[in-house]
Amino acid sequence: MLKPIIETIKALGKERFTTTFPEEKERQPDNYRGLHRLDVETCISCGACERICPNRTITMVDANTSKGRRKLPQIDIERCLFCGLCEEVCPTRALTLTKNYEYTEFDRRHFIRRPEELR
Amino acid sequence: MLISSVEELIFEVIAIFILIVFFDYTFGWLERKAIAKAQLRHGPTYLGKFGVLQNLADILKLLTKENVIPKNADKLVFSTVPLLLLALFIFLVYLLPFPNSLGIDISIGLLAIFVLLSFSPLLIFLTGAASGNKFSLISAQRSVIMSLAYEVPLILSVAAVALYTGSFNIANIVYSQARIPFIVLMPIGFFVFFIAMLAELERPPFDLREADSELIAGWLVDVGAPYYAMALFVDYTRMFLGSLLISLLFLGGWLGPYLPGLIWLLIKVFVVAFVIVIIRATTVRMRLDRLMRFGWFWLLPLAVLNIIFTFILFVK
Amino acid sequence: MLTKINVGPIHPSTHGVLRLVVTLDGDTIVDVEPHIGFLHRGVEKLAENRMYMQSESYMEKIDYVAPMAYSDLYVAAVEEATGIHPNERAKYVRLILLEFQRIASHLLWLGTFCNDLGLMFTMFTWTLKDRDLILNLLQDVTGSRMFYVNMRLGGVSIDLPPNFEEHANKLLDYLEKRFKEYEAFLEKNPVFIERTKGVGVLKREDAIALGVTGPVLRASGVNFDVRRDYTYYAYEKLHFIPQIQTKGDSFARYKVRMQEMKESIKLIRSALKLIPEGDALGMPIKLISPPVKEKEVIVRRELPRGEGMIFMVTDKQRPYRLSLRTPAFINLSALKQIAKGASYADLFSILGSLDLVMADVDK
Repeated sequence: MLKPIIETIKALGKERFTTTFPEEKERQPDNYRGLHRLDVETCISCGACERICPNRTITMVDANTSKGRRKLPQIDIERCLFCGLCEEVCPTRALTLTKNYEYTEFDRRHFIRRPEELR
Repeated sequence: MLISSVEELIFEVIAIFILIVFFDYTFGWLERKAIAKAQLRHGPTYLGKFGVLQNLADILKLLTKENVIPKNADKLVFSTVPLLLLALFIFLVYLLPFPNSLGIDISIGLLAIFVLLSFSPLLIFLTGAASGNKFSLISAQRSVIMSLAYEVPLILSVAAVALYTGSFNIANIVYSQARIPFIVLMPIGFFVFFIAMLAELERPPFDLREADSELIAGWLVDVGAPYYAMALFVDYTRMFLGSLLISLLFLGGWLGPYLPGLIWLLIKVFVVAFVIVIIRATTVRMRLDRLMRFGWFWLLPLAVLNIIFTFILFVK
Repeated sequence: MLTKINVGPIHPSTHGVLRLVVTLDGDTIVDVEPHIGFLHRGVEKLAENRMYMQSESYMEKIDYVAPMAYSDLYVAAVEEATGIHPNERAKYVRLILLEFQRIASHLLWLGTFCNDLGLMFTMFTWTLKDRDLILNLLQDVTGSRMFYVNMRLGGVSIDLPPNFEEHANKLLDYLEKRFKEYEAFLEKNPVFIERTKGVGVLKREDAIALGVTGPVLRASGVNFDVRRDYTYYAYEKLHFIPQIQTKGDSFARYKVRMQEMKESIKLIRSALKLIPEGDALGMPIKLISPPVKEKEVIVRRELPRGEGMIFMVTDKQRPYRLSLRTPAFINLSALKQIAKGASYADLFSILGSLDLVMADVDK
């Protein structure tokens, strides 16, 4: 019975492992799969991301760009699985996943992000 | 110390009550921080400098909520018995002597305390049985069964102390440890008393009554929010009583060099409480029938052996 | 007099949502009846309407404790169907990542097992810290701590980074030291030994008749492991030995998992030494599935909880029917046999040692 108590007392001297969020944040690698970012100039409106998404998260909607009125992806963040298939299948690498993971809203309708907001 | 006037009585009552509240609050904070450190995490850090005001915030939140009494419960028993439990434990602290002429000194102090302490399983059983819920009933039954096995070694080990000193007066017991504390004279007795006291306080490894992962919260499943706050208060006051008894009867009470008696007593009480908290962070829960077996087959013979040794070595 | 107690869906000790209707006679259990299905999401039906590589993410969410093992099971089934097999280096890379996943899964099991017995989070936070260090290592490789989605046809999506070997060796040294401390903490604790030895005995014939697999089967003395009997990847070359105990009680199941963790450490070390050079990247995701050659496919793998099996009937672009055999579902059905005659407090010791994850039971 004595050895377990010694283990516990040894643990009292160790460093704490939890981080006090939001004052301290954990480190992230470079290929972290967070929120989407769309480069409007590079997107060629092929619709590959809409077809590959397993959960039917992406829909192509009309949007005004510098090259006229074209279809760009609109993403519903509530349905997204963050699997990364849309990033892999995009032929021009216009759609990428950034390191941002903090997205909270008060209204549920704000989770449907139009292409202009994805940056 | 006899009470000679009404002012002295009022002063005593208020002073000891402040002491109880101080210990409960500080022990509540200490337990949370010490367990958190042993589990490699921060405890409360947000309110107050080191989370000191967290317990105050919890109690205030619990006291302002609505009291709900379930339909199957017996209203009278359910509402009044927890208050009786609280009154019992606070009264027991008043029966102990404190240094610097605080506290009462009775010639049968030891007997009175243990007689009144054995009322507590009965009151807990009444609360659990009156709440009309199967889980509460099971945990209340377990509490009564457990006290059946651990009362006898508790009283026998204290009887050895009383045998050595020759009186039931706790102040005399403390003064007769002036040269050697009793933990050195009767180590077996200290071991038996410590474990039996853990079972009486229902702390891990004997916390069947509030088995967090089996019966969710035992007898406290259906009580309303103000009663839950009161139950926490009862729990910490019982810890205070237990640690006080251990340090008065076996560790030399308020005797010690250089510092005033009250400070020594508080230091010893906090050391005993810290050891109990470390034991909580280390062991798993015992099963009921093994617990009974442990009480009857191990602690009881050790307590009897302790009495025989004390009688032969020191009294004759 | 028999009383019925409902250990409800919301309970701190049932791992997930499981409802048990327990019939008690005093303090002994007469009958246990599990009610499941609270977490059913229809994964098998979802896979029928998606192309082959789109449902990898759904397969991972069947088990949230060891996701990579399930996605490896599914991708191996698709590889059998299309005929695209992993090359040598890809086999070793997959083996290393899967064995790390096994250690992480068993660490979480250890924490929650001690939680059920009453320890209240001390062991839980310690083992979660070690699991967190493993997940940080996997995050550097794949980009995510949970739900990796890194298995592709014929390999993985991102190869091992250049400094992986030294980080992994440092982590393995640390883990070996920690396992010695955990054994000292638990096996020298007389209350823990009393709570687990002789509790919930499953005899050898009953274990084979009920169809349990994994550590539960190996703790009853049956020498069966999918990694040796239906071998895959590189387990033959690394001389893998399954760990057996004979008693069949909760303590034997605990001991088998501790030994398995140490065996995984040995496997990873020897795999890191023998790994060949080359390219472990698989086929990237395309909009059309690759051509399918087989009609029906059966694949087995040794998941951390037991043996997992997929039977797939293929169509041109998507599976026609997918049938999963998950280990926790079968292990749960053995609960009734084990718990007869035990006392009520033993029920949680038995449930904890069976290592259930409810998403695995309900799919």
